[in-house]
Amino acid sequence: MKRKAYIASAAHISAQKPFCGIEVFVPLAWEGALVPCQDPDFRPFIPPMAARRMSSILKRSIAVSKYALEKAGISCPEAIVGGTGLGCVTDTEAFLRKMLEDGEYMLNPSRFICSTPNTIGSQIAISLGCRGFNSTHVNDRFAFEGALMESLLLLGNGEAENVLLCAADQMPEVLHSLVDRQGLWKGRPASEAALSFVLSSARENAVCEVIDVVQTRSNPSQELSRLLSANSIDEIDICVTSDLPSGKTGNFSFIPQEKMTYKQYCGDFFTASAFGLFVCSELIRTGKAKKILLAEESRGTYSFTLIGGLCTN
Amino acid sequence: MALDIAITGAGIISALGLGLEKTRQNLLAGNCAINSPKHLETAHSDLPCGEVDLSDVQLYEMCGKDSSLPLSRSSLLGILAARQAEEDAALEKGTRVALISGTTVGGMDITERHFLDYFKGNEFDSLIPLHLDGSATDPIADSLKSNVVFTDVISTACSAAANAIAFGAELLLEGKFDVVIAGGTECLTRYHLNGFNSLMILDNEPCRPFDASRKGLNLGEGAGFIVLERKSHALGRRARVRAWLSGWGNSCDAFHQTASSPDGEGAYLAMSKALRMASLRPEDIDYVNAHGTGTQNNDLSEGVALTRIFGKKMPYVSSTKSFTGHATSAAAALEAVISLICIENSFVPANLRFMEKDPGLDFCPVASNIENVKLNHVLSNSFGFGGNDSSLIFSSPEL
Repeated sequence: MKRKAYIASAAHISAQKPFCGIEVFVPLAWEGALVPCQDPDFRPFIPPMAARRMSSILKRSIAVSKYALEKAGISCPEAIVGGTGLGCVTDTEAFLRKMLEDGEYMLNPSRFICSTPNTIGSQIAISLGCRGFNSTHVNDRFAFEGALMESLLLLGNGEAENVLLCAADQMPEVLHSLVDRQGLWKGRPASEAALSFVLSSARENAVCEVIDVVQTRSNPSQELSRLLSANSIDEIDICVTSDLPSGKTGNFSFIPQEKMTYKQYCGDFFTASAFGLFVCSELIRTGKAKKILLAEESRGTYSFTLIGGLCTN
Repeated sequence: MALDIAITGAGIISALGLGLEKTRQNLLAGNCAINSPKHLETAHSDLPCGEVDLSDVQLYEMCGKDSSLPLSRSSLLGILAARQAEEDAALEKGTRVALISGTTVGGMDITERHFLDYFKGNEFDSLIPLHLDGSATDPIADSLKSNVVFTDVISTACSAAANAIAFGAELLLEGKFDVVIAGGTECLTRYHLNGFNSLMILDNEPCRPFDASRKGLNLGEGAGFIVLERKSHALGRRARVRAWLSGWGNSCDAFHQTASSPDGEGAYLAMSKALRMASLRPEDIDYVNAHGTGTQNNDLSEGVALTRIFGKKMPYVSSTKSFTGHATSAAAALEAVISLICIENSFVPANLRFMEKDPGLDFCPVASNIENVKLNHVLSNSFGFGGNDSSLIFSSPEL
């Protein structure tokens, strides 16, 4: 029988106070701008010498992963699965600019080395000494969903008892204007973040269950009905989404439930839906909901994630 | 679990040409396709590459795309290979499929051409989104006859396509989809040519994997896609099975961002996991299509790992990167298709330019083609920066 996936712990470094709970979230004030990420003191997580060579996305990813693992009481996960939309774009930009402005000679490799998206997952693995499964999903706005889906497969088929699921994106000031011009953020502030979840097949001490996830390029309402019936769910309490809060308009008019938005707390970035999942786990932890649907849409692709409390099973 | 994932179609474009037949001919003829780049605009035209000998304009034509539609070379290569794969599998128009691609470069070819322009004005704004790996994949999904209901993109550097294929297989086993098209695509760019050059791991002559005097790798480009389905589904629609995907394994070397560990632990674990999944013993493997980049570090680490797995009973080993160059995120896809070609045509391709045994290794790769050899099981290795190591096992359809 397919084994279940529980969130043993979840943590964020984002525009909110690092590692804080939903109780102290404050809506962001910088509309249309780039809201800075609030970084913690990295010294408890990364030796200062090593940290000096790392870009912000790597430091945040390692710190938030170590924080989440400690909270879950796990020193080394059996698998690390990451999602990132733009990857290590600060290092990419630095190497690219140097090459374009100064020519193709005498280039220093250090920025290139850290510029591939999987640098995040592999640096976490190196810092933990984790030789288990390791993969990185980079499908733009659905990079996190791909990583979540693969994590559920690894837990479901028993290949791993626990998985460190990560999401991270950075947005250097110099590139923000380029991305902003695309209208990608739809008027919301842009920001940066790193999130980590320890997913486990053990129910004990878990926060909630990730019941299922589906992503589709066609027939979203039909896919959602199929997802709900496949998991024998008739009722959800609330729909968490980056879409409009009104049930009448927006991409999710076919979902009658009350909508709660979350990007007012984290700003927008390619893997923001990971923050959405964090919000869902917090709603369950604080007893605000028992069955939640996380719904996302971008360029005609939809994703639906079902999150459930533990007492309702 | 073994022999449940059928490979019913394949498509390939690399420096060896477009299509399985062209690739087969060139492999059998020992035609190395590593030359000075003609289409990539770079100051380093002295660095040989496995370049697809087609301009972007020619690729647009072959894809039947209007050249005013901005597309990355990665997308164009991917469209050709993926279309071929669905055709080879004789998928009916409108078949629901998932498309999973491995890529890292994505639309970097376009970004590096216009990046500085982006800061001068709005003229090239429509090109900016093409940088993303997902944006390089969507045009492939939109160009297929199949109905692509799901896409995902994996980027684990030089093992990306192997992980895309493995993820596709896992989705099938879970019953999420009936048909998956998985592989990878990557075009040459100045960005990563210069990146690898700055690491001083490029050979200025065609590479010599596993040779004692090897000096580095040559970059390559291309795309490969395979069609995967559960056995029951493939047999149900009377599809021809080209091979079985009988095992896959993934492990992180967790040693260094760019160097492989001296004991090849990540590679060893990836191969062990793949063998375990396929319920095979090491001696069941007839041929290893090695990662074999041609760098001192990779080939030594991989060689040590191979000896740890196979001991004295080393199967045939060769690196076909000596034909195609190293197509980075697409490499595992090219080598998956090459493995199918070898199984089907009963030959082991040469590890070109191998002359002298490395004293640090216990074996020699195959120096020239071996024909008329029955291959039941082929193991294909792909290792990436960050120690993202993956192995796939392909098995004969007659099993």
